Parts: sequence; structure tokens; C-alpha cells
Amino acid sequence: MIRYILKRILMLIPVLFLVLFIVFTINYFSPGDPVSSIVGAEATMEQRARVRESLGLNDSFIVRFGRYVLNVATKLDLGTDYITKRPVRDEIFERLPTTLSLTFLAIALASVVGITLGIISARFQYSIFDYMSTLFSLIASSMPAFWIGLMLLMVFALKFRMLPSSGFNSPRHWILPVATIAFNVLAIVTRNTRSSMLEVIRQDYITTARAKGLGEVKVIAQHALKNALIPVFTVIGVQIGRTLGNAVVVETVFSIPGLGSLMVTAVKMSNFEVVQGCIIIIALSFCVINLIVDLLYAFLDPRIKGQYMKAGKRTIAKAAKSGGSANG
Amino acid sequence: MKLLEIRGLEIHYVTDDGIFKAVNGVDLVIEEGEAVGLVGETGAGKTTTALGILRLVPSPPGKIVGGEIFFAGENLLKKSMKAMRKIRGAEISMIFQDPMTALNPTIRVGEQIAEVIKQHMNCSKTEALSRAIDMLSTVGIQPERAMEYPHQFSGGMKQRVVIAIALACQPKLLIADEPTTALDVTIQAQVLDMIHDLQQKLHTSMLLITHDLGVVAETCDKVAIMYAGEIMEYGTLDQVYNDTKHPYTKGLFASIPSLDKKAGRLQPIQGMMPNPSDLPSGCVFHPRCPRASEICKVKAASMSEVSGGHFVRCILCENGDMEGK
Amino acid sequence: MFMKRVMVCLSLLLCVAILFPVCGYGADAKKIVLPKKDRDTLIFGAENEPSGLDMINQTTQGSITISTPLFERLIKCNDVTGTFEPLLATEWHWVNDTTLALTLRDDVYFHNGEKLTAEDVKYTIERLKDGTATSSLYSSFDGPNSKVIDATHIEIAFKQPCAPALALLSSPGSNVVCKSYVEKVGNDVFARNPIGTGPFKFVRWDSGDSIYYERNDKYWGKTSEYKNLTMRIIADVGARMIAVEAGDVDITVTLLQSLTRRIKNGEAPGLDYYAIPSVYFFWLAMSDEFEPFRNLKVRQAIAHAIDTEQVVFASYGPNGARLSSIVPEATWGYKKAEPYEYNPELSKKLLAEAGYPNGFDVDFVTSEATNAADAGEAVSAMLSQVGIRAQQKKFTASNWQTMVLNGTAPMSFGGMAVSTGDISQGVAHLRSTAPQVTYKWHDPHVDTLLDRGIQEMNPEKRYEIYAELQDYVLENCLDIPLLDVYFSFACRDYIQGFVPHSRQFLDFPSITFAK
Repeated sequence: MIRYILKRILMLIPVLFLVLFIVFTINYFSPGDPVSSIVGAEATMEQRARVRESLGLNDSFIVRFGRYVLNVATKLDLGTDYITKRPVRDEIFERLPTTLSLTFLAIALASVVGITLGIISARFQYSIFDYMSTLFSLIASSMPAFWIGLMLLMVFALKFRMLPSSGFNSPRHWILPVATIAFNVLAIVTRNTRSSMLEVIRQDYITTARAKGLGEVKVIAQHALKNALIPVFTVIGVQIGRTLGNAVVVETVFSIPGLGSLMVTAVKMSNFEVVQGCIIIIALSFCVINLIVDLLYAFLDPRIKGQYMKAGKRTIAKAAKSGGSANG
Repeated sequence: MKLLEIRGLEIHYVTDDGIFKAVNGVDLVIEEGEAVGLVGETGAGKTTTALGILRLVPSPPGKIVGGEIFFAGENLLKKSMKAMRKIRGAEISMIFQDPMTALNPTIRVGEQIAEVIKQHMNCSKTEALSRAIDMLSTVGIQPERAMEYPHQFSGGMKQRVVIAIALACQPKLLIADEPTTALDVTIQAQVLDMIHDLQQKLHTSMLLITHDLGVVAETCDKVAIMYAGEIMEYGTLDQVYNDTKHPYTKGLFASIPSLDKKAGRLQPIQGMMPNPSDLPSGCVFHPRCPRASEICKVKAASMSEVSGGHFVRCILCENGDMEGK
Repeated sequence: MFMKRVMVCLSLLLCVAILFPVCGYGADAKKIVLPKKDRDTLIFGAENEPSGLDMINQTTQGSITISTPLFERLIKCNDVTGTFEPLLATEWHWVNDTTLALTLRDDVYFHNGEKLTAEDVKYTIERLKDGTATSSLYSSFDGPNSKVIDATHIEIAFKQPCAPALALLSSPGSNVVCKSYVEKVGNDVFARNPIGTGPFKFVRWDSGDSIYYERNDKYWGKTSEYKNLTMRIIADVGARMIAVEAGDVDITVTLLQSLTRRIKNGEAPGLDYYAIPSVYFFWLAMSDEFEPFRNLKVRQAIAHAIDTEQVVFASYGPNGARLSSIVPEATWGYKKAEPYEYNPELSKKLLAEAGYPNGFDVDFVTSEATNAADAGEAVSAMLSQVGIRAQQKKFTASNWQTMVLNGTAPMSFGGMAVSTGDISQGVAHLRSTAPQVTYKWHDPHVDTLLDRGIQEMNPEKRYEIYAELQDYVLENCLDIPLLDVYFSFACRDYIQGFVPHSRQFLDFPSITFAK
């Protein structure tokens, strides 16, 4: 199992390299010019040329890419923000916790509520509760995040003055942005849990469990849930990725100083180093989260755990064989 | 002593497309220590009847609409769910058809057996587990394998685990729903033997549901033939096999290919089992019956005793118009 | 089935319920207004986060407002009368055409406790040539040859006569900085941890969120009643409007048209509206590298094809006004002119006379910012009515600036804030050596007037030169003036003493909370 984890971690490196390459290429060939954002309209041509030179923007693609990769690999240096002159790494890590906590709070809330609603809907299929939750899911997943955010702002911050409209300093500030993101995710989790549970409840082993005389709660909690949650976790994993991407929208509406808003401002100002750094960090986060979700499967489903172990053993067996043949 | 007596059981499935009358007035008796076979084609309502006994019929579409089920003198249909749960697994157990799906893939085998023990017998987890391991050896599985998962077992071994679960609490009645259908023939024999041995040893009554008349012959004392939700014929092996009365039963026996007789073609019963939402009037079998008469189309027959303990649901048999063999 | 009917009814109910907050929102105008809770903190809703607070490198819109509480200049310009008044300098006079002598206050201390001397002023002047926002504006300033006479007397030297010198010394680029501090920490750290002489001192900067200031109790002038000043950065304009309505900020800037109208109609209780015509303006720029634009009749045709009132309405609405010269009214040197008559028929005639009876195609490049994009759509529609097919293409701000710079945009908007308040800054883009290819003109007459204007030290004569320039530019349609943007503010009604400023030098200490 450890071998499997190590293998996955090693695989991160080529993935990140590829992401870096793609982003760097796109930035390199995109028409924006960071110099304009730095010097403003009244600067002379000599000044602009000087700034270009000092940022190293005149070097070739290979040189710039090579320099960047070297910096990342050896010093974990993600470059310098053209405009504020601060290290990109500092700026990102100032904001990363905010975005991550926003994402995770929302996902956690949506998962807990969604799974509960999904279980109840499945158990009482065709009841009023089921219809209401289906309807709610449909509506909630169709509403775009910024609209939900603005509506919540208007109702709670403006009309009822119950909650603050911007910032992310205290728990009161967290409620609205987290709710906004959670809405969409909740809908999807509920639907998926419901359908997964419905499938699982029809399985023979559930009838077996009931035939053993176990109470309904035990049947659902111990027998059905473990099996039903596996596909739901896949969905949640995907949603985490989607939410990281959607952070931009919510951070804009609620003026939250997170990674998303940093990235948007950077794109508008053609602040390439910041954009690259943000994307790498987001890609890294996404890969790590995927790994954790995959490991969770193993925890839930012993069949998958067996596959992971086999995968580890197979490489050992192969290595042993090839080692043997090299010696023999 | 009658252990189980089913009287006039009716189970319907209520859906948007109509009402499916799966079980239409089934009468059945199982004595203590007796093994009764319930035979019929697919769709006859056998599994539904079995689920009905334990009140495990899936409830949004299914509903028990009439009849009584007496177990050890008490009407199961009038009991609370809490009381039913005490009976399930402890007094009445069930073995399901497909061993591949009957076990929870994410829980260890030993724990699944221990679960039913802990539920009904007042003992600690470790005690339950050790008893579970004993059960495993009883069904012929090494104790070390108790910590493995179902996907690590073959079909036959899985079915043994299911049997272990069913018999762990030494129930009075075992309902086995086609326990060997999903297994290949050699394993079939093993499993059947084991069920039979255990049943005899523990003095457990058994309701064996199957479509295989041969299996019934080997393991059961009595047999009931079911068609379209009703029992057509019921009696001891000797009565039903050697003194077959009902046209349907005759058709069943006739359709079994024989090793010694030379046969050109198989002889199935003409027609198909009717759609449970649209049952024929009068005798349910009349559209396919070679001996159907006018009265069969309008009047439904009730179970009548043609000889001691041998019941047939056929108007013509009542009147003695049919001969055996 | 019954269940399905129930579901349909419930879904309709739910839809209606959702629409309630939206519809019912505007309806209640008589809400109870909450009093300000923390009267010791003033929260200002800013529109952009500056990249630093060192004004020699800052061009972000709104950065002047954010930096103004911390720093001071030598001279200030009275927003009402336009005269120059003492600030850090008590008096000044021209020794000769290239030397300006100033006397400084004797009682000024930087936030770190050091006393202000002429050394600091000389250092401030010397670093102007390195600032990206100041190097060309202050190019005439000769820092090395400026002389420190004593602690409170300095003579600033110029490389050539610099007519807008006083205006430049009243601009944020010349904020006086503490020499010892900046030399010690370097420009980059100084920009994030500034020290000045102003009525507030810097406390903390939470990137992306807020910048915190505190009252400078050792300030030589009038200080505020409240102790804390917070610049909360809310970039999304919708969120900013909600913030001021909900009371999360006390004052905010750059309002949406919708909120402006609502406050004016009394539909937004608890809010007051302030606005002032500013030095920020827009014009329609045509590049002389594009063949048709070299023809005077074509430019005249364009001038007559645009209904400027409509463009204002489409973009800024009540927060803008038609520009009546090539620079805004708040600029020194402004001369009122007759706007071009809106006459599409005349346009078509002129185009035909110019040899384009069927019009022509041209790429019209604008920034994607809402106001620019809306104005662009209006202009594009008007031009197409007379046959000029101006394909509007929107780009991000930095891309748009690049295209204007290298001339790949034949037609675009020009927009700038005359931060010095002097007309020379507002017309500098017309010079043939200016950086932006799209804005400049290769016209020797214009160059001559620009050179003379910037060196003519006699104010009356100088005014004449620029008057002549404005007439010439307007007759030849070199720029087509469009609109003058108002700086618009919404204040909670418990805010008193707020006075908007055309160049963003808001007087924060004068603001008080109503009892």
C-alpha cells in the first residue's frame, strides 16, 4: 500500500511538468504585455525597454522556460510578481489557506448535508420529501454560483443586515460564501447519493442483512452506506476540483482575498509569473486531493484495496524478474 | 405440530403500469422437521411468497393484501416490525439465490456471520466471532479464511458462507430460495448435501424453493407446485410424483427430458405464464391446459383433497375426471 | 398521477418564492436606518488594490485616494479657485526661469519620528527620474543640481523652463518621502510599508483585503476625530455597492448608474450622493497611420456622426458629462469650446466628398471594462449609421494598452486622469514623439505649440498658447472629445464634512460622524 502511495506521488512530477509547460507556452504566446501594466501610459519607450530587459522578457522561450523550471525544482521559487515585485510564492501562500478553507468548508458542508438528504430520499423514495429534494437539487444545480452569491448578499447582507457582505476574517464572514459554493455541490451530492443508495438498497445483500433481523438503521448505516458512498466520493472529488476553479467567481462577488481573485487580477494585467504559479499550485492541490480520494476508496472497498496492493506487488515481481534476468 | 401455516396469502405489486398480482391465495403447511419443496416456473411467485413470510417484500411497490401466516401459532402478519426482526435470522432464516450478490462486498466474511449471532444471542463481539468461525468449519471453510472478503471466495464457497449465516442461530425454519441454481452441477451436489445434512442434524424445517424437480426429489418430504401465484398441487413426494393429478404438474413432468427414453423433441407446455397484471378469468391455467373445458374458463377452482394429504386445485380433478400418471 | 400534480404545484410555488427577494427588494423605501456602531473607524470602500503605496510607480485608478492620507506634497492646489496654496512649503518664488526657491515648514515629522528637512525634499526630487509614473512627467526636474540651502530652504533646479512646475509639485508623484528610511529599506519595501508626513500613518496591509491606517497624533495640522481609517478593497463594483448599502463600508467611490439613480430618487435610505467633475476624461482617438484618418473631412465626418450626449448616457449616465474641450474643465488651461454638432447627414456628405461614399471598415479597439465597452458600442453603432463600419473589439486593459502603444489599434478611446491638473499633461499625447502611436499626430504645428506651452513661464501668455492649441486641435478634429467622468461617491448619512475632490485628494481628517 505504501508502495502504491509512493508511486502515485512520483507520478505527480510529470503531470505538474506538463501543466507547467502548457501554461508557460500559452502565456508566452498570448498577446498581453506586462510592461504596460507596470509602467502606465506616460512612460517613454526607453523606460519600457529597460523594464522589459530587467524582467528577462527578451530571452528566448527555451531560456525562460528552463530558468523557470530550474527555479521551481531547486529553490521552490515560483518567480516574482512583475507588478508588486514580491515573490510569487509568498503571495500565493498568503492566499492559499483562504481559498482552501473556503473550498473545504463548502465541500464538507455540502457532503454532510447532501449525503444525509440523499440517504433519506432513497429510503423514502416517492415520498413528499423525495420529490422536494429532487426539485431542490434540480433548481440548485441550475443556478450559477455568482447569481446565488448575489442573491444571498441581497437578502442577508442588504435586506436583513444579518451578515457582512465582504471579507473573510471571522466565522460570520464565512457563512455566505461557503453557502454559495455549497449550494451547487449539495445538489449534485444529493442526487448522486440518492441514486447510488437506490441501487445499493436493491442489492441482494441488503435483503440478506434485513433477513438477519437487523434494524433498518443498522442496515442502512453499516451495510448500504459503505457501498453506496464509493461513487459518491468520486463525485465529491470531482466537485472539489470544480470548486477550486469556481473559487474565482465567489471570491470576486464577496471580495475574498483568495487564490482565485489573485489569478484573475494577474491575468488581466498580464502578470504571467503569478498566473503560472497559481495554476501550478491549483494543479498540485487537485492532484493531491485526487490521491486522497483514491486512497479513501481503498479504505471503503476492499476489492479496490486488493487491486492497489496487487499493483504494488506486480511491480516488485517485475523488478525481481528483471533483476534476476539481468544477473542470470 | 404445524410450524408454518400459510392461509390465502395475497401479495400485490402496485405500480404505475397496473397492479401485479404476484401471489393469489396461497395455502401451505410445513410441519416441524419437515422439508417442503416449492416448485414452479420463473415468475410463478415463489420468491415473493418466501419474502412474504419474513415480511421482506420490497414495500414501495409490494404489499401484502390478504391472508394469514401462522408461525408457531402466531400470525406473523399482525406482528410489529420489532417483533419480526427478532424472528428474522433467529427463528426463520433465508438463503438467497445468487451467492455472488448475497454477501456485502465490503465486510469480512467472518464478521457477516458474527453479525447475526450478535444480533440474536446475547454475547460479546469476540464470542460471536468465535462462534462464527465454528460455523465456518461446519460448512467446510477453514477458520483462517474468516478475515477474508467475499470477493476472495468462489461461488460455491460463498454459498456456504450464506448457509452458515442462515443456520448460525439454529432457526426453526430455513427458507432456501433456489440455493443451487447459480452454481455448477458438481458444486450443486455438495451444497445440497450439506444443506440436507445440516437440516437433519439441527432438526430444522425447510422450505426449498426451486424449479428443479430432481432437487426436490432428493431433499424434500413434501412438494407444492405453484403457478401464477397459486398452488396447483400439494402432497408428499410419492403422491405428487407418482400420482400426479393436476394437468400443469403433468405437463412439467412430461417436459423433463429422459435419459432412457428416446425422444425426438422436447415437450414443453404450450403457451406462456400469464402476465400477473392481467390474469385469465376462471382457472388461471386454462389457456394452456390441454384438458380445459368451458367451466374452467369461468369458475376458479379451490384446493380440494383428492386423497389423504394430497390437494389439487382443479375442477376436473375434483370431479374425478382426471386419472393419475 | 396525483404525486406528479403535487410536484408541479410545489415547484411553481418554489419558483415564486425565489423571485420574492428580487421583486420585493426595491419596494420598501422606509426602512429603519442603523446608526454607525464603531465611531472610531472610518471604512472606505476602494475600487482597486494598488501594487504599492509609492506614488512614483503608481498608475492604478484610485491609488491617489488610498495614498493621500499618508503623504503630503510641497504645494496644494485649491480645488475651488485653482490657486496654489502652501502645504509643506510655506512660500516660494522663482529665482530665475530655471530655479525655484521654497521655504519649508519647521514643525513637520515623519511617521517614524524623524524631522522633515530640505535633504528629504532633495532626495524626493532626485528619485523622480526613476519612477515609472514620474520619469517623463518630471523630466525637466534637475535633482542633482538642486541645492539644499539649510534645513528649511531649498532651491529646485530645472533643466529648462518648466511652466507646470507648481502643478507638478502639487501632484502625488512628488509626495515627500523620508530619505533615511527609503535608503535603508529600499523602494520595494517602502512601497509596502510606507512612511510619510500625513495625518494618518500606515499600520498593516492585508493583501487583497484591506489596508489599515491610524491617526497620526503628532501631525502638524488638523487631525481626525476618529482613530482608525481602513481602506477596504472591493474590486467587484456590484459587491461594492452592496457593501455601502449594507453599511459594511462608510464611503465608497465609482458608483454604478443604478445606485446613483436610486439615491437621487430617494430609494436608497441611509445613503448620500456626492459627485464632482474630475480630471479623468475620454476622447476618441484616430491614428494618423490609418489612411482614411489622414483626411480632414473624414475626421470631421466622424466628429459629426457621434451624438456625445448619447455616449455619456450609455456609459456613465448621471456620473458623466459631455466634454466641452480637449481637456476637462477642472484642468488649468481649459478653454470652453463649442461641441461638434451631431449631424449624420453632414457626416455622410463629408465622407462622400472625402472619397468614401460607401464608408470604410476600421478596427475599433476598446478595453473590456464595462464603461469603455458600453461607450464603444454606442460609438460603433453611430458610426455604422453613416457608413463607417467600425468593428468593435474588446481586450483586457493591458492588451488594449499594448495595442494603442504600438499602433495596432487604428481607432480607440483615449482615457486619462490629468493628475497634475495642468493642461500640458492632458495634451502630451498629441506630440509626435509621444509613446502611443494611436494617440499621437505628426503635426509640426502641434509640436511647436506643445514645446512653447510647456516652457512659457508667464501665465497669461501660456494660457493663450494653449487656447490656440485647443482651437487648432478642435478645428482639425485631431481628437474628438467625448466625456468627463465624475468622481462619484456614496456616503452613509451619518458621514459629515465629506468633500469630493476633482483630483482625488480627499480630506479625510475633516470627515466626522454625526451625533
